[in-house]
Amino acid sequence: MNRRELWQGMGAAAILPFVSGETAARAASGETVYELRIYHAMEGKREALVARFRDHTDALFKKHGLKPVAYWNPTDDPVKGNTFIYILKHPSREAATANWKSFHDDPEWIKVSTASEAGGKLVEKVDSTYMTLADFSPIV
Amino acid sequence: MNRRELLQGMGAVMMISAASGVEAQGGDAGGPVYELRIYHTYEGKLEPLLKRFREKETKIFERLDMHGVGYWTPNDEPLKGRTLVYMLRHKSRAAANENWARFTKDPEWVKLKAETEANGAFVEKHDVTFMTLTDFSPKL
Repeated sequence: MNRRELWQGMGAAAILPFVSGETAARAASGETVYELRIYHAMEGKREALVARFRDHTDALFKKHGLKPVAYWNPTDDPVKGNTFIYILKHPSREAATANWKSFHDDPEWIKVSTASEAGGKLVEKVDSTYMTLADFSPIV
Repeated sequence: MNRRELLQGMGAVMMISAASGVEAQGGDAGGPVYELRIYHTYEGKLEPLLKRFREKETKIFERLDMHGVGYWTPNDEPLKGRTLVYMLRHKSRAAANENWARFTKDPEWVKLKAETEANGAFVEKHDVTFMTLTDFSPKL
């Protein structure tokens, strides 16, 4: 290998990790995602579910970097009596996965969850929808 | 008025104000309501729907006092590429009904809808949920 070939080889070696590093960084940092979560409560359990959010879950979300945009109660039948809705804002999809995992693994959450469901499950079903803001949307 | 009548009168006043307080929490009596709308589009119609929102429809909303909170597109199958999620804020539940009645009859909207859907409707099905913020929600 002469000096010129050596330099070319080093150049390629220097550029490759830079390029792949940048791509990986962009994929990992991703873009802000919003998560719409619609909870369908078990019969008669909606108020207990909302109380758990008010008293415990909201604080645990914040502890694990899960940022609530807002929490809502539906006003009209038939969903009024059994549905609870909120939106979380995550810095990226990867952060959402990591933060949900640390939330679910938190001993405090496990304790709260177990205690609140001693008399039966609170949630029948959760619809989770990950979403990106449309280019014409206000920033939420 | 003797003391007994006075106390009875005070009791009635207290009960009335307590009752109207409960009613106010119900959502109908006033206070902002949020409207979550999920549009399931016909095949290939999400892009023209987004274009209509971007260019015209959101502006008609604002003119009619229907405040756009956020507009999103889902990231994952099966909703990806065929769904629009958005949220409006109205001054009250009653105002929401009035706003939609005005919107539906609005000449600019009637013309826009007829022009954009000349080759077929955009939205196959829409889900509408009216909601109020919970007492522990961040403000929007």
